[in-house]
Amino acid sequence: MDTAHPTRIGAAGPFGPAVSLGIEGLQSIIETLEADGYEVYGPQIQNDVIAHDIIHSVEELPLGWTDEQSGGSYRLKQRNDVARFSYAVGPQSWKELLHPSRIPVWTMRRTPPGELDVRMHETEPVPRAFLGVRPCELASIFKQDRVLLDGPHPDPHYGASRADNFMIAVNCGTPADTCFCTSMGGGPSVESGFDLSITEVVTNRTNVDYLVEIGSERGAVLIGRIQTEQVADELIGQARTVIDEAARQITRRMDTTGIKDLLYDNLESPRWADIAERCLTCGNCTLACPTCFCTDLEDVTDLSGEISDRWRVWDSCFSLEFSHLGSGPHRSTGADRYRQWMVHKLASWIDQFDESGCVGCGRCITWCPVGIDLTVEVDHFRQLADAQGTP
Amino acid sequence: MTKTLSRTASGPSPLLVPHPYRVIDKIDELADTVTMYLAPVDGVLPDFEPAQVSMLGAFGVGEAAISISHATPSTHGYTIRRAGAITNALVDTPAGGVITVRGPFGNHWPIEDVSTSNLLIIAGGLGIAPLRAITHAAANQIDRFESVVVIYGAKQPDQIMYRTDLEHWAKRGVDVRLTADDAGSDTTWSHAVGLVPALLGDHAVDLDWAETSVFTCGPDVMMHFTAERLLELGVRDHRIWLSVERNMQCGNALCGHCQLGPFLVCRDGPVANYAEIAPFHRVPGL
Repeated sequence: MDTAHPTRIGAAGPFGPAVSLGIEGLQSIIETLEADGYEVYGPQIQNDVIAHDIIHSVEELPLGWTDEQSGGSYRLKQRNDVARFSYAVGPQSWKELLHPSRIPVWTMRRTPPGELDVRMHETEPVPRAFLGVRPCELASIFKQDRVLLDGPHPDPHYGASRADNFMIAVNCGTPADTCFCTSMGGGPSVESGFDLSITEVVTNRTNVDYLVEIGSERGAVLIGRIQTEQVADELIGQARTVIDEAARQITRRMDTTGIKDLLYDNLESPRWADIAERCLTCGNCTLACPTCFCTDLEDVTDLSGEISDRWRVWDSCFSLEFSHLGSGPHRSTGADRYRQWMVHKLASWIDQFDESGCVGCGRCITWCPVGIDLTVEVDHFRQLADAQGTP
Repeated sequence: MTKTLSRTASGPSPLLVPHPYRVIDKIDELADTVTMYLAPVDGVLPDFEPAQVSMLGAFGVGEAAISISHATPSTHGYTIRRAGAITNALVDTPAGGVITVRGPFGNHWPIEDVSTSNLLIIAGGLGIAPLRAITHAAANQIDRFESVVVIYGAKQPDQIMYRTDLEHWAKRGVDVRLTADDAGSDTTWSHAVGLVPALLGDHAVDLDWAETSVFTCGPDVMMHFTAERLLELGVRDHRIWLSVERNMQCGNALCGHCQLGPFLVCRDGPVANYAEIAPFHRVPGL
């Protein structure tokens, strides 16, 4: 399945025609958003990976760096040009900003003695602009919206974090070996759900041009306030080539035809035990996954014993305690826990939230210390089913 | 698919906020099991339907999911077994003390959907607690049915609780059958000995199975073999409902803990229809 949309790249949308910028224009976008009160987050190199953090200048972007990824491996590598977005995705998704790994939920006090006073904590809705959101990451944010906001009881913390996000997507020009967004419908270019969408075109070793499409009214207003240029046909052609090339480079596939029934039919397959022999149940995949949303609640009491804080922290279905019942952990084996993760992500998520839980970003493959590859595992079940003649 | 650039949510659902409740009364049920009657410190007691669950919180220790076994006009009664730090802290809270409650959550035993002439209620161990209130309700509308039967199994005779209720139900015309896995040295035990499924059919409980609906709660393995036996006897799979337990934490379908295949137990349960849950419930460790 090829979901690249090269013919759309550079076309005018309902919010106006695409524009062209150089690096100074990108700097103007950052400064204008800051002047409007946004915290601007963008990619930068931290601890030998490309992570997201607050930026004030294009100088902080990962100039001339790319990432090389494969099962269990991630390495930064120098390029010999001035591209700033020529990488795939780092281990840290935008999840850390929207659905933080640790937040206070409430504080209880024993006041007056014998009684309980409960104070709920709130998350302040801080306006934030995200620069460099990949198509797969945008898709993952919408998946978390569905889980955390569209259910019967929305999560007020996530709702506050999502209250004002200025989304600047950057289409993928340099997918990793672990990427399979074209199978999951997320990329390599974005179609909607952004304020601005950028395609970075390396024109020569010392120059890049940015083709910017406008996806919202406020995106159009922002672009109207900075200096831009009319888009040359040549740039549109180059940008389409970038996306075409990216789509061509993504060779990893997951055949999602009937995947829910495929996995449901294999709940008791011996393959889970085989995977468990490799799986360390470390939970890295769940931390790196941009859609994994599970949280645990923990109580911390102060030294006086009079104040107790409740924290909400990311949890992982790979931990033994995750399935704790009075009789002990329900998913007692590694096979049980890997099955829970993969069947939830690819099958039961569809029943629970009407869509798949996977966007094809490949993080779970890259960041698995032993390189377990869910596309290979799905393929295995499919071959088994084909051999048995079941659909 | 919802694709909105920015999203907002209102304040927290009341079900995310812990409410202080006072312990009004404590009834010892078994050596390690107590029913605690709780009333809100401020505000009104929320409505409750049989099978619903709340998160009960002990200050500084944590929360546990406990079903409401009995309601009075001013209190909800929760039957709690000492199973760890949290349940110990809850049970150790004295009358007059304060704990927190979030809930009740979840669906209820669909007695209004029962169209058969027989209602069979099957409990294993502490599984009697979430069935207690619905059995009261069934006893109160016993004329609706040709027969209402309760089968209640415990490991040992001394682990049968709610004895006053059992007598009350029997007086109202409910056919109450007890069984102990092992009667041990209890020579006074006049009831059956053996596992719950063994009481179904043959010389024990025999009903017009095609005209029987079943509510059951107990350990997974007990519910599994019970349901298999019922299907063998001719009960239709969509007329069996079970109350399932998974690690419930947030109660708001946000934390992901209480999954059983496609079911989020706090959102879609705890009562599940066997026709829908069976392919997942029968898989160990799912």
